[in-house]
Order: sequence, then structure tokens, then C-alpha cells
Amino acid sequence: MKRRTVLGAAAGLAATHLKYGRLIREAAASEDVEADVLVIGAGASGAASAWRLASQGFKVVCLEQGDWLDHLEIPSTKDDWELVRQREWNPSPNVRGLPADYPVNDSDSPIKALMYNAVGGTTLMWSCHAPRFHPSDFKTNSLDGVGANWPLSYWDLEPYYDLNDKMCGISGLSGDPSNPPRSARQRAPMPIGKGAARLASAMDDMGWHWWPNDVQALSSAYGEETGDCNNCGPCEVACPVRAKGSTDVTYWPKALDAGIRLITKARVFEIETDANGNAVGAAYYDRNKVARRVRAKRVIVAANGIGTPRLLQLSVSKKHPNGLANGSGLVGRNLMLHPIALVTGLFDEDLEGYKGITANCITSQEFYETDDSRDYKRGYMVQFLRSFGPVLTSLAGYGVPVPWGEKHHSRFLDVFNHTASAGIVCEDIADPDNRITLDSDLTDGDGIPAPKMTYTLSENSKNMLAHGIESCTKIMENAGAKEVHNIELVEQAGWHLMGTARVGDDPEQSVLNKWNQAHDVPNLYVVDGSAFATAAAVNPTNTLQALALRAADHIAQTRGEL
Amino acid sequence: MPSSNVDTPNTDILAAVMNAILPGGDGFPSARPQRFGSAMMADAAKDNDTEMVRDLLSKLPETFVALEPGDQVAALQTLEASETVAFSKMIRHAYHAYYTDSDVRSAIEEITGYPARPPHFEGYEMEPFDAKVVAVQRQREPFWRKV
Ligand SMILES: Cc1cc2nc3c(=O)[nH]c(=O)nc-3n(C[C@H](O)[C@H](O)[C@H](O)COP(=O)(O)OP(=O)(O)OC[C@H]3O[C@@H](n4cnc5c(N)ncnc54)[C@H](O)[C@@H]3O)c2cc1C
Repeated sequence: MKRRTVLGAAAGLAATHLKYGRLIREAAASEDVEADVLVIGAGASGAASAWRLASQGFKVVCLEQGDWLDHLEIPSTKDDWELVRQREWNPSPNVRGLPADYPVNDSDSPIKALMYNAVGGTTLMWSCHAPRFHPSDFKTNSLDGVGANWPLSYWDLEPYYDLNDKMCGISGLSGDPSNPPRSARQRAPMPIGKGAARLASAMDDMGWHWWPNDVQALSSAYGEETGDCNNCGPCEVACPVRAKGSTDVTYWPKALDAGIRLITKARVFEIETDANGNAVGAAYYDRNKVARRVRAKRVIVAANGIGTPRLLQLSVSKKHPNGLANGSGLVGRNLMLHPIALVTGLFDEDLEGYKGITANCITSQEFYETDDSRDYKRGYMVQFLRSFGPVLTSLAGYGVPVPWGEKHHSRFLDVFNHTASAGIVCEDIADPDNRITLDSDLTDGDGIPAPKMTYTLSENSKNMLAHGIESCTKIMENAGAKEVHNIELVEQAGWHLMGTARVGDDPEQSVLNKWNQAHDVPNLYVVDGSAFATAAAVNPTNTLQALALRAADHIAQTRGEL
Repeated sequence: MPSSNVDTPNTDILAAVMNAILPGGDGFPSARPQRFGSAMMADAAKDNDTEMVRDLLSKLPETFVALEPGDQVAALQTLEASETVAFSKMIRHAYHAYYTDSDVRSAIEEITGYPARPPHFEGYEMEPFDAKVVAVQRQREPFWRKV
């Protein structure tokens, strides 16, 4: 019965792939083209904005430096999947080094840059946790005297959160007391599993908040060509059953049906401008490394919090000598990440931690807001994690050591499937010295200057991390952990890239206005995480997709103006 | 005195080292059989670490293979203390080789129930979400900060 379902699913997937094969070939044709709107980047935000515009009749072209991913050819279908995810499927472009990747010089940052470059962007690797920002996140300066206020509010964005949820499908549960009310979720929450149930019960006893996550993965299929999540675990190595909300599954099929032209293996090296400084399109290298051009009335940059400032800084002209849209000098500055610490409890019980999405089950937002009795401003979310497979368990993936030698095997058995972890996801307060610049030496495979990331962990973050470790240790102890281990700062955690072209009302203090439109270049929009004025303490993708949809609607509403 | 003739790691040394690192027991096989050493070297090659491992092993005493198990461990501990980074890389390659071996994966399945197959396509059965688990949290008044 189970086998039949699996084979049935595979047959359906093969049909889907044939369809995409045709689309891919169509998209591959390269010549100079014209469009109403050019979108650069086919990841989370690019896909959302492109679909929204194409479905309102715009002629949209999207340039993406990567290609389509064949979901049937991913590591989690193979015995060495835990090795491949450390190499060819490593979230660091520096380790992967695939032709679509560009290197990032992150040697001056204690947190390393992570991303994926293909149709679907980093959502091909994401863990699908899709929370919303809180209303307070948009007003941290007024409320707490830190960070910048956004020129829009939670309530401005709420309809677009709803639209994004509807487009992608959320498995979750409404009624979370730590957040404003929201509509019924599209699908039932994901199973919680033994480890999270144990921690949840401890938090109930402590009077602390927890709630099942809003997940952009489907507890049961939602719409055409999607599948049911089979609780396989590692969403980070993509999803062959198409249950995970990567945008090649959620937005792109609909965007292509709406007539958008997606050109893959097309690396943009300059956003071009006219004599007045307005954007007129972009120049890119096609798959044969021939330089080409797309002409467009409006340009949307959706290349992520590192790729976007890189591209704006590369686009120097007479009118924009410091890079495009950089009159404020803030392009690339105010890089925000979410510093993360990890606390792991080791339990006597077999928690079956391999079952269910590894990094996505329940969260606690007990410590989300500023509390003046603490030595830091703003707060953190605790995102609970399941456990790793045998290889990463033996390598102390979540910080529980397994020594080599005589005691190795008994210790392995003590640890394997007997851990539950808490990731402390801290709000990062913007600092202009944390930034993306162009590296003076490093280049990508096309010889284009690579980005350099400079980042220092603030005292505020250090204090917040320490508080998080303390509170999560209490949770583990109350849940009956016999050992508790922690990692004070996770190095491979630069997955949330924000702030490098931020929104604001004041053109001297921000790059974009409240519609994600560049102050200096009215026909240029930035819709990825670069636009964030604050980082909040939750994962950013739902918010950047909502912003992208909203910006697209603004373009539609002002279509006659330019 | 360090051994001098280990340009391709001597299979006896490799087997002895693998066995000392992963000696077996508790239902697990030892990593002594040659295939583990070969797999470890193949894994090292993927990260361009072949030379590094050879170098490391050449720093073991020439008599390593003949040493008592306790003395082998002591020799490896000495090496670990002096060559921390290289040693930890070698351990990584050894674990990679060991935990992707089909006998080891079968042993894990037998002992723990964790299936000896990749996560896909079958995935795993789980109890569906039961709304009763949020009963306590549902009683809490909304506490998000009103703005
Ligand atoms: C392991 C991992 C787990 C994650 N888990 C979560 C999670 O659970 N929840 C969450 O909210 N977020 C998560 N994230 C982060 C999430 O994936 C990103 O926030 C999101 O994908 C960012 O969307 P984006 O549109 O800004 O950029 P991306 O999705 O990165 O897309 C940018 C696209 O632009 C393309 N591009 C860049 N430069 C150029 C150029 N010059 N020319 C042409 N194309 C270009 C890239 O190839 C890429 O496809 C995770 C990330 C990682 C790495």
C-alpha cells in the first residue's frame, strides 16, 4: 500500500518534470528582450512579485543566475545524503562552489553567509518555517529606542501575509496568543513528535509560551502538483515529493502559466540607467557567457540581502557614482542576521528525532519583547529542533560530543535519537558598520567582483544569547534532560540576510520608501530581505514575500505614472 | 620513532587506526576491515585531505600495529593533542565512512529501529497533530504587544 503510493507519486512527478523540461527549454533561448517589468532573482521574493505582476497582465521577464533543480535527483534519496549535504548541498556557496554560485568573503564575520542560487533561490534549502513579524517589529525605535521604524505597519502588510499563505499553503494552527489573530491555516499542523511534545509539556508547567509552527510545507497536498509531507526530516536538502514551499513549486508554475518569461543561467552584472539616472533594464551574461540585455520600464531586484547590495554597488554610473540608489550611502550597510545559539538536551527516552521536519516543529515566543529588567533590548524566539541522522550525530552536530574509541558506540546509542534542541533566534539591531561591500580581489566565475561581508556581534546580541541559553537550559532541565549542552554562537547560520537597502521615510536614512521603491530611482524596487528596517526575531521569508506582493501591487496601481 | 614509509597509508596501519577509533561492540561492527579504511581515504580525497591523512599516520610510531590496544589509543591521543585540526578532520572522514557503510546502517536499524534507508521517498509515519496538546496555551490571554 505504502509502496504503491510512493510509486504513484513518482509517476506524477515524472509528468510534472516533463512539463518543466519543456518550460526550461523555452526559457533557455537567449536574445535581448523587452519587458514591462524585469525581476532579478527567482527566489522567494522574486517569484512572488513576478507572479503577482504577470497575473495582472504585465509583461514580466525574470533573470536568474541558476537553473531549475530536478527534485528527483536530490541527496535525501541516496544513502550518502548526510555527506552530500556537507558538500555539494552545503548551504554555504563557498563550500558548494557550483557554477551558479558566487563566493562571499565572509572571513570578517563570525556568522557565515548561506544561500542557494537556482530557480526557487534559497527556498530550495529552507526549513519552511513561515512565522509573521509582530506589530512591534515595525516600530522598535518608537517603542524601545533601538533600530529604525518602518514606514509601514504590520496592518499594512497583513493582507499580503494572508495572500502569501493562500498562495503557498500553510500547515499550522490559528489562535496563538503571542501573535495577532490570523485566519484559519490552509492545512492541519504538522505532527509534533515525541521530543517537542515533551518540551511543550515542560513549558506548559513553567507557564511559558509555545505554539505549533506555521510551516510552508504541506501536511496534506494543497493545489496542483504538490504532495503530502512524508515527515522525512531534512527539508534543507529539498523535497522530492513537492510538499515543501520552495518557489519553484509554489509560485513559479503559476507565474509561468501567467506568461512570464524566466531566463535561467543569466547572471546580471549591471542594472543599467539612462541619462536621468532612471533604470532602463539590466545587462547579464547568458548561459554561453555572452553579454545580453533586457530593457524594462521598471526593475525589481530580488537577489537577497547579499546579492542585491552587491548588484546595486556594481551598477555605478555618472548619476549614481556610489552605486545605484545609494544617495544615502546606506546600500550594503545595516546588514542584519539572526545570531543563533543552540541548547540541546539529552534524554533517556528515544525521541525518534529523525521523524518530522528537523528544524521546524514548535516555537516559543515567551521572550520576544523588550523587558527593561534585562540587559538587552528587544528579544528572541526559540525554535525547537529535532535531531540528526547517524553521521551528523556522531559528529556532534547539535553540540553533544561523541568521542572516538572504546566508548564511541555506547555513547552514540545514548545520543542518537535521544536529543531535542532549542535554537535561540535573536533579533539583531541594525549597525551601519555591519555591511556588504565589493571585495577587492575575489570574483565569481564570470569575473564579477564578489561581495565581502563585515559583521561584528553586538553586546546586545551577546547578552540576549546568554539569556536565551539560560532559559532554554531551564526548559531542557524541566523536561527531564540528563545532560544539557550548548553552542554559544552557531557559525553556519547566516541564512537570514536583511537590512542592506532598508525602507524608511527619510531618503537620508534609508534606501527605499514604503513601497520598496528606491528614493533615488523611482522605477527601481528592492523586494528581498535587504528592504527590512528591522530584523524581528522570527524567520524573514514570509515577510519578504508579503512585501514583494505588496510592492508588485504598487507597481500595478501606478502603472500609468512612469 | 615515527614510521617513514607511509606514502600510501599502509593498510595494516589504516586498519589498526580505524579499529582504534571505531572498535565495534554494543552490536556495532569494528571498522578494522579494509573497506572502512579505503572508504575513509576516499572520503578524505573528496576534501583534498589525502596528503593530510597520510602525513598524520606517518607520525604514529612504527610499531603502532603491534601495540596493545591501550597503547594504540594512547598513541592516537598524543597525535590528537599535537595535530588537533588534522586529527579531527581524519575523525570526520572515519565517521563518514563508517556510518554510510551498509553493515553499520543495518546494525543501527537492528539496535534502534532507525531504518537503514535514506529519508526519501518513503519518509516516516508519525502520529497526526492532536489539538489537545495546546489546551493549556489556549487558556492564555493574547500577550502580543499592541501597537
Ligand atoms: C538552510 C536554510 C534554512 C532556512 N530556513 C528558513 C526558514 O525556515 N524560514 C525562513 O523564513 N527562512 C529560512 N531561510 C532563509 C530563506 O531561504 C531566505 O530568507 C529566502 O529564500 C530569501 O529570499 P530572497 O528572495 O531574498 O532570496 P533568495 O531566495 O536567496 O533568491 C535570490 C535569487 O537571486 C538570484 N541572484 C542573485 N544575484 C543574481 C544576479 N546577479 N543575477 C541573476 N540572479 C541572481 C539567486 O541565484 C537566487 O536564486 C533558510 C535559509 C537556509 C540557507
